[in-house]
Amino acid sequence: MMLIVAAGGFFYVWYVNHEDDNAIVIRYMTWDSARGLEPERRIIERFEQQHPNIKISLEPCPQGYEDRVIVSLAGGKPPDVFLWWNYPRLMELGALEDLKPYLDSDTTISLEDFYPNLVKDIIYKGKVCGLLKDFTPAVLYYNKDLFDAAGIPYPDSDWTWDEFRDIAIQLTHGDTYGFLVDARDIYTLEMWVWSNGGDLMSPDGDTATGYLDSKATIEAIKFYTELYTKYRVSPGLAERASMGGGVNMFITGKLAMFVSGRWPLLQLKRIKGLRFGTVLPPHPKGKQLVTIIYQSAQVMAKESRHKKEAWEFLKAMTDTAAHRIRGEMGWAIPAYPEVVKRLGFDKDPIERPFIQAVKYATKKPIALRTVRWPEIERKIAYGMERIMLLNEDVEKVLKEVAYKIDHGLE
Amino acid sequence: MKRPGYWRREALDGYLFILPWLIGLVVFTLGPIIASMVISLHRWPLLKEPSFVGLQNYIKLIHDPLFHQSLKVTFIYAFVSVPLNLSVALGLALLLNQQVKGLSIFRTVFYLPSILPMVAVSVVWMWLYNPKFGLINYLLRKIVGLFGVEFQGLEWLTSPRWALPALILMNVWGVGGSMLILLAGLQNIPRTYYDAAAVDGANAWQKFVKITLPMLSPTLFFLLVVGLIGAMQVFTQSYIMTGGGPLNATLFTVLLLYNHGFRWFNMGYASAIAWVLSVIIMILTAIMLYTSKKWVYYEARR
Repeated sequence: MMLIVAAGGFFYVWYVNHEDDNAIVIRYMTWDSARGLEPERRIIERFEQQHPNIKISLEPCPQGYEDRVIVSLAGGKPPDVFLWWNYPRLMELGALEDLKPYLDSDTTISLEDFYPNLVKDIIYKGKVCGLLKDFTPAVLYYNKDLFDAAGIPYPDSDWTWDEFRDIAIQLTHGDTYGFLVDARDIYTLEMWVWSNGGDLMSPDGDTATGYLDSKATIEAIKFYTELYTKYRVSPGLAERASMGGGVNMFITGKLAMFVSGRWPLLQLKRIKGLRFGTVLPPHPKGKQLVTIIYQSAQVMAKESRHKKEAWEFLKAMTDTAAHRIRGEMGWAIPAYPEVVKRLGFDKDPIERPFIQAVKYATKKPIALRTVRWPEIERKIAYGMERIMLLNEDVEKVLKEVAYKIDHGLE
Repeated sequence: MKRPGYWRREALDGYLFILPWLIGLVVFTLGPIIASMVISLHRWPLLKEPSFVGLQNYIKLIHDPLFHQSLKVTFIYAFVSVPLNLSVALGLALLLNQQVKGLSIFRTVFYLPSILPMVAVSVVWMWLYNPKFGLINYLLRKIVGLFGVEFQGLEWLTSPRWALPALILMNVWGVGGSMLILLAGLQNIPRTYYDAAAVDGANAWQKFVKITLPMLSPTLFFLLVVGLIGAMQVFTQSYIMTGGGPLNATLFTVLLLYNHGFRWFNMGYASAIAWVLSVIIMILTAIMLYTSKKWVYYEARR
């Protein structure tokens, strides 16, 4: 027994020394899995060839990702570099390394080369939280066959809410629906509200009163929810669940339009016989469209013991070459305008609306403005359920929710 | 004759043998229990240093509508689901006790669902509850259709009214464990009692009420206590199937606890919820133990 313990001890000591002698191990955790990991593996391979003294330990964790990261941070043994998206929370808790000093002293990478509308989202209170791994704006997908059958011309990228609603009404008949209202997706809801000149929270993310209950916001949410509660152009929760979700309804021709990021795109492209297009979402008449972007970035843990090497790795995961690899494999839109042009994303009719949408993403999502996002999201989502399921008055509900958010009430 | 040295040696050996278990208890059970008690007196956003706040978390709990809602949901679930499960389990056990052919096959079939992991069961039931293509609504439509009535079926998991009943009904599927224990209890009742009752002219119902139920009461009591403790801690179903919604209709207390701890980083508050829930469970158990004297019949105690 003692022998085994002693042997184990010696082995451990040897292992630790060995590790220090030869290579530094950088742990990288990601929620990517399967096909999404392919470009990452290639980028890592490339990095390891260029940096023989650094080994990357790739830790994919598609299930329960956020819990795993939080627990490892709380336990003091976080991965050196990991994928994240709602930075304020971790930044305020002191878990993330501010990358600004690194960027200031390193001339090989510059935030100015990225799309400016993406960069604003990774900066929180003057700190750079991470470097962009990938992103997608929300655009509107439409089923060309359903438009053809109804004799409606395809929408172009400059169309109004009223035109959009009329089309949705015309496309709705029987168990086929014109559009999908996902009222519990508060992140995407912001797009509708912003486009009408409203907002859910103040610019610093602290106050709801005067924003969530403003005239413009009420009007936007009324327009959006009435698509379901009044005009019935959207399936309800039950119907949506029974059809296996919005994307499946779209594939089977039961849904003519839905708003989403780029996630279903690869799946939709693979389906034979499905003719679909993408287009910028509509805007209210006389108002400027504002789009929303979902992004994720590689961040560095403050507790990392090899920050110099972690920074090198972080750069390699987010430089133009890395974005080019992801772009070439069709996995993501590059976050560099230069790479987008080189790969011809702006020429592809399906990809073009995504690229166009970037320049309208002028507002910062609330999730990236404040640490209180989970609470705000939950309270607004509850309000949306009241509007959608109980048919309560939009103005009354939003006033109550704004009050509850500002006074910390449930 | 006393041999103190021997006994001490004996005791030492005994402790040595239970040491692995004892260490497990202290490290993995007792330690966390005490720790959570201490944490519940702190404000702890997980990644920052905890700060002592005294009983503030508990005071906040008293006025927290979400916590009230979660207690309401949990109580309804526990007080409907446990008796329902027990009745079904008892019914099945009685049927299986009728010397049916292929007893072991039936026993296996009914027991099988209770060994499946809850996550898998939840996913299967999400399909069964599917409003359009689900088996349950299909059967409902067929049955109601027999009366010539047009019926769409129920919006099981997506309506605030039916989501909780759906979770309660689904739980009935897993009564196999209770059924097996009841079946063992039934088979322990001496046949002679029934023979004597038959001689005295008792009918089946009288036999059931006067012999089966009293003789089975310790088993029923055990299942009731264990079932209630389990039901008060229900979590997986709503975590997987409904996320606590719609409109918080399935927001079980443990789900709220999980949300506070791991979603919203309020470890202190989550610990306070855990303690309040434990106290509630302890009180319920104490009440049952106390009242059990009146209805639980032990053969040995005459």
